[in-house]
Amino acid sequence: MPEAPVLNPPKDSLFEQLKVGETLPIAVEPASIVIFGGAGDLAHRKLLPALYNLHVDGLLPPRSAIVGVGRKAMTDEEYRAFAKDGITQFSRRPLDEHAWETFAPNLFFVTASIDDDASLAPLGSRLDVIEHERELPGHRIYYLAVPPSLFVPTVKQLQRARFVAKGQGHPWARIIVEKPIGHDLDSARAINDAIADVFDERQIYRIDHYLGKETVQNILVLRFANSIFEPLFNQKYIDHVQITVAESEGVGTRAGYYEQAGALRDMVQNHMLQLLAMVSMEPPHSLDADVVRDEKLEVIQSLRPIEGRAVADCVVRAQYTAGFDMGRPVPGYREEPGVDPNSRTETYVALQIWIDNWRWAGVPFFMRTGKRLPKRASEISVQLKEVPPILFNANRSSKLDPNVLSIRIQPDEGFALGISSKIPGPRVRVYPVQMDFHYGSTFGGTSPEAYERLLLDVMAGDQTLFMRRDMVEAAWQWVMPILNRWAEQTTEPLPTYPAGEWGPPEADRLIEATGRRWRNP
Amino acid sequence: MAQSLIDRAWRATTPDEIEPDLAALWREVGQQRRVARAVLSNLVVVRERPAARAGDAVNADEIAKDLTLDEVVARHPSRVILIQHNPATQTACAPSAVSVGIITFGPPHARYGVEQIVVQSACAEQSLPSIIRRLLRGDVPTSVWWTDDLSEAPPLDGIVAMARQFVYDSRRWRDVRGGVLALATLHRRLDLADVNWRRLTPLRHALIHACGAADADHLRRANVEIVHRAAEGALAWLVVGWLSARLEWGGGASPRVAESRDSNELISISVGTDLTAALNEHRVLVTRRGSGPSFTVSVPHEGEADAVAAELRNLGHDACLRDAVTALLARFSA
Ligand SMILES: NC(=O)c1ccc[n+]([C@@H]2O[C@H](COP(=O)([O-])OP(=O)(O)OC[C@H]3O[C@@H](n4cnc5c(N)ncnc54)[C@H](OP(=O)(O)O)[C@@H]3O)[C@@H](O)[C@H]2O)c1
Repeated sequence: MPEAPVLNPPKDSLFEQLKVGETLPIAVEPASIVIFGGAGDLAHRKLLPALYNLHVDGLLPPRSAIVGVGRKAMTDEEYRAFAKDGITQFSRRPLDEHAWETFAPNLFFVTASIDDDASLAPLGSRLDVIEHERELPGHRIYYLAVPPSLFVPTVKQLQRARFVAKGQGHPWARIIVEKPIGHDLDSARAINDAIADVFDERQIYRIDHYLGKETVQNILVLRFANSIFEPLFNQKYIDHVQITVAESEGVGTRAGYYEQAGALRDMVQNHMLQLLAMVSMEPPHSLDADVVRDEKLEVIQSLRPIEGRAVADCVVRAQYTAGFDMGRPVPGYREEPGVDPNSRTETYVALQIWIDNWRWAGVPFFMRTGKRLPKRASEISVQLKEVPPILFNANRSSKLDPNVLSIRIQPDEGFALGISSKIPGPRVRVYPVQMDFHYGSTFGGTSPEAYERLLLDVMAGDQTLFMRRDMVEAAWQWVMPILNRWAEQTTEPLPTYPAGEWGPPEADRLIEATGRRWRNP
Repeated sequence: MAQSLIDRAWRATTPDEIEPDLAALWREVGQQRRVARAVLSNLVVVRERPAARAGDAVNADEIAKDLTLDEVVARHPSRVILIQHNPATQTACAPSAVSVGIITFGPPHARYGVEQIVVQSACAEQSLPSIIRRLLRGDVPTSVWWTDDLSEAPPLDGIVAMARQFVYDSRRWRDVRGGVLALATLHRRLDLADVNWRRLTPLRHALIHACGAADADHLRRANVEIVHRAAEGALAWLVVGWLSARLEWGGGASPRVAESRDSNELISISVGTDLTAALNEHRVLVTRRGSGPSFTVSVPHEGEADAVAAELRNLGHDACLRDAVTALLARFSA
């Protein structure tokens, strides 16, 4: 006679038992999400809509409190109106009044200035009251949505007001740091040091919102869940890789920040090196956050430094001049409000990069990013080597298009594989066709915004999609010689490109000198 | 293609919402039935039209009546970017109206759809490249189909620079010389595809065949005379271009080209008194005196849509056409 089944003895909390088998990260317990800069642009356009959508999907732990902090005098009601406006304008889903009614009571605002040593005390007492009333366990997430110059002062204030116990204790505290982390290697180290004084690395979540995008996460799936691609991802089969992050907008209202940053700092040092790492990393032995991040770090550490004279050979920087945006005339960068008429800040950068490891030896990676390019589009394209110049590829005046795997990150997320196919008919003629996959029409609906996924991961304590300190600093270390070289070159003319075009001729020459061409997304 | 098998879903949109609206249309279309997205190329069509008012919806039926676009993309699925441009305007600005559509074709079990974007532009020509560049898909080849008369409305350099192939129909040219000269900056950069040139293929092949049997060298010295029907002047000059290139005629060697109002033939070529080849809508008739039997080559029936789609598929460059155009350029610009 079969034995009666034995129930597993309870191991962890009931919560731990119930969440076994759940596929989405489930936040352990409700927390207070304290947004410094809670009434700023990022909160309005991204964070509050993301939190609302998590709420609608039932993923925001019930009773969680969202507390905006800023110098403005704002009541809770006014803050709720601010949030509602942001959600109405920017949420991927239209605002649903029923859902809003249950979301709004979770929002609070506290007026406090980071410059004022005493002002965090009222924040502390308000948080205590909110947490007490909602019977919250006291877990806190501090979101630094303030200007980067305030990252360190905010953390110091948190320390001074004894808001944080270092380590993963109970209740826990976590901190989310927005980009940019530093202006160069030294300032990044200074910020990291200051945060490390107060928080343990396991408590720190450095956001790169690119990593929260569906297609970026899909890069690893594409590579390591499909046996068709991974055997080809190496110097034997790949001719080169291109990464393009194009923006159609100009500098807009961000001239103050952008003038100090430029395209290399704004895009390459963070997002684009992350994309490069994802597409070229070795298979991690597990999906554990640190294992994945170790592999990514390996890639950044294997990048061949671009130093001294090599900067001129491998990097092109440029600025947009007056041109057109979808037909409308637009001013050049130096004519934009808030921009120095003699500015040398680059709005475009193109690079040729080598990864000096076994897998990628001899395979160039080309990157380019810029403002006021013809469209907003980010794409990675992996171009395979040509077939030999015989049979169908024998005619040198009309060579076959090589196979290209392109991964579209935005918009219209998806990927496509370009292959050559015979055109039906009596003669053998070959045409390049696309096997194309679109997230939108395949899975339907809209993908969650990057910030939804990232906020959820912070609540669940999963650091995989966040940047570890060593990664941030390794990336800075790699870009510094380029920045230093540029800083020395104060008189050389800067290449230009008219707004609405795909960059300067110098960038075309950079890639064409190797016998290749840019692939426009 | 039976009309009942074509469905259209259209909506007016704004320049910034083109891609999201197309994505939404795909979802809507996909909810009704299974439709595969199909795209082999970008097909850019720029034509002159009076300006529409902002927000005017596109009349898809009118476009379908005017152009054989639907038939073309049913045969060669492409993302259509149709720019209706008012050349009278001098101000650089955004498009005055944009509409997007998904056109689906095929039987229920194998339905496929293509995207169409119609831009009504009431802006200066210099605005157009930035509009088209925004709308192109980079992962497929781009062909420009020039439906206007090239001799009167030559294409903007900024537009053709984006293309790999330039499709036109020299039969539309009112002024053959002007049309050929308009190709001067294109023929070395792009793959040219002349729909009219396709119509010459049976004639060219028949001539090659005839010369294969006879003594080609003595034909080289013979006088060549080309007679064409009214409106087929371009066809006649294409033959001149082709023969000039292949027989290495210098600028001095000039065949006689004449129009005949009452000819049954589209075009006929006499080489000395020995050889005549005459093309009409159905056949090429080759008659030879003394040097072999006459013969006939049949002419395939091909509508405009078939011809354009076939050219889009060819994509590679046509060395014969390019050489013919080069020879005509030398002749006309001398
Ligand atoms: N916006 C984006 O899309 C975006 C994207 C990526 C990264 N980021 C990063 O996110 C951060 C915030 O950007 P943002 O665009 O939201 O900037 P923002 O609109 O200027 O907001 C900054 C917020 O900080 C508050 N603040 C400024 N000084 C303060 C002080 N002394 N004490 C307390 N609060 C203070 C401001 O509120 P009061 O004036 O009321 O104090 C304001 O709400 C920045 O680090 C930025 O680099 C933003």
